[in-house]
Amino acid sequence: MMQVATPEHTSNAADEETREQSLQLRLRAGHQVESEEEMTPRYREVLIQTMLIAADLELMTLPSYYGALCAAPNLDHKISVASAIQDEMGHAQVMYRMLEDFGLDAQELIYGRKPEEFKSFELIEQEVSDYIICVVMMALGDRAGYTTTRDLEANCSFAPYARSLRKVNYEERFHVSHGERWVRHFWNLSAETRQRVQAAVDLLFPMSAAWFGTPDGMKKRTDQLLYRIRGLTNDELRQQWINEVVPFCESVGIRVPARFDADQQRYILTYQEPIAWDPELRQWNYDTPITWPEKFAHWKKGGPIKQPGLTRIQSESWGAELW
Amino acid sequence: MVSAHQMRKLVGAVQDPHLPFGLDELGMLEDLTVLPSGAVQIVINVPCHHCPGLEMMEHDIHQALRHAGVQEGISVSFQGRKSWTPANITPQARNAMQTMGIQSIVQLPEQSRKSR
Repeated sequence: MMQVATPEHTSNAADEETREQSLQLRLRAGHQVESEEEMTPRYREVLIQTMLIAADLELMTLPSYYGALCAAPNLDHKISVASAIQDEMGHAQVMYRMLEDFGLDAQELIYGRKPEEFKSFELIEQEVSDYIICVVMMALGDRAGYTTTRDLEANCSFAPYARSLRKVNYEERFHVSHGERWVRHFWNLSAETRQRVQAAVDLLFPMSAAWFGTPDGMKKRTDQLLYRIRGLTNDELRQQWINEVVPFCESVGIRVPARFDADQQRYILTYQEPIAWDPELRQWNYDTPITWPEKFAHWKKGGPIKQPGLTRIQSESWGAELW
Repeated sequence: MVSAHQMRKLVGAVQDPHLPFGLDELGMLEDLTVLPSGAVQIVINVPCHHCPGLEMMEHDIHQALRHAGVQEGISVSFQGRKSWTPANITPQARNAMQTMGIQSIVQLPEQSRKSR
């Protein structure tokens, strides 16, 4: 039903608009928001969405790494995986708890939502079934996550969230270093482990590059940047990740679909999204492009561990094989 | 020739792989001995055994000493004689950690029971 504008409505709307403009001006001048009272409804909504996605991504690490935890070949490796999962659950706890300050119920968010309502990315919806895939995930995937959380710590205008990410980032940095160390180890250990490292990189590299979302040219909503919830665009974050991960892979000898471009004076991907995963050949098909709607549908469907993994968390059924 | 004192400073400045603090500040460098042969024996007292960062720490210690010109053998043991406790952290490092949202317990439950 259409609402009739009364003088009171008009005045409220004008007040809201003034608050909105004032907040945007202050944010552009570098103001850091400390409390909910300073936020406009739009700012609050964008911030909550950003934090909820970040929390969900952290939580997904548990079901994703579960296979590697069970299959770790020795106690040290098992402890490594357990400790990484524990760190990530700590990050999730920090973020879900902060969401409670905005009136959301962490228990409900984790246990009450349907798995398809969780907002995670394809990369972390994969089944990390052994230790080699796990360390590749840390070297590529944790580096992608670390690229995002570093940007948030450095630039997020909601100061409590930025501050909370300092410890998170120390731990993410450790996961990346740990992953890189063991990727190098397994690359040099034997022909068989080298092949497994390469296979894991072949699978995970494009998913890690896609962690940062669609190209900037496609983005319609840029509220996160408008409100300085984050500082860098999707493409800028992706470029930073490429700049770090490609030289590492090259130094080890791992083949990746990226290279340094002398003309552009930067590292570039050698393929253009959207690309399709071929489930029969179990490889990315770089030659036959798909459309963005097809890619979005693929992302929406969720990776192999999303539904069963979240169901497992919600029913707490880990099974006797865990330890 | 690198003196034992210099080596202690170098190893003490090696950062824990998890945190931007030196092993000395964290109270983890228990002992550094230079044997008559010139070989260096280092004992690091770790908060958590089987920590996934131990090999990284050992690598960084080797790097720091080799970079400074130590050519003799270097051995690193993570089997300290004493238990590491958060009370080993220097007050400066503890304060800095607090500003980063990292809490460290100053008194262990056992100590606080005794002090009552």
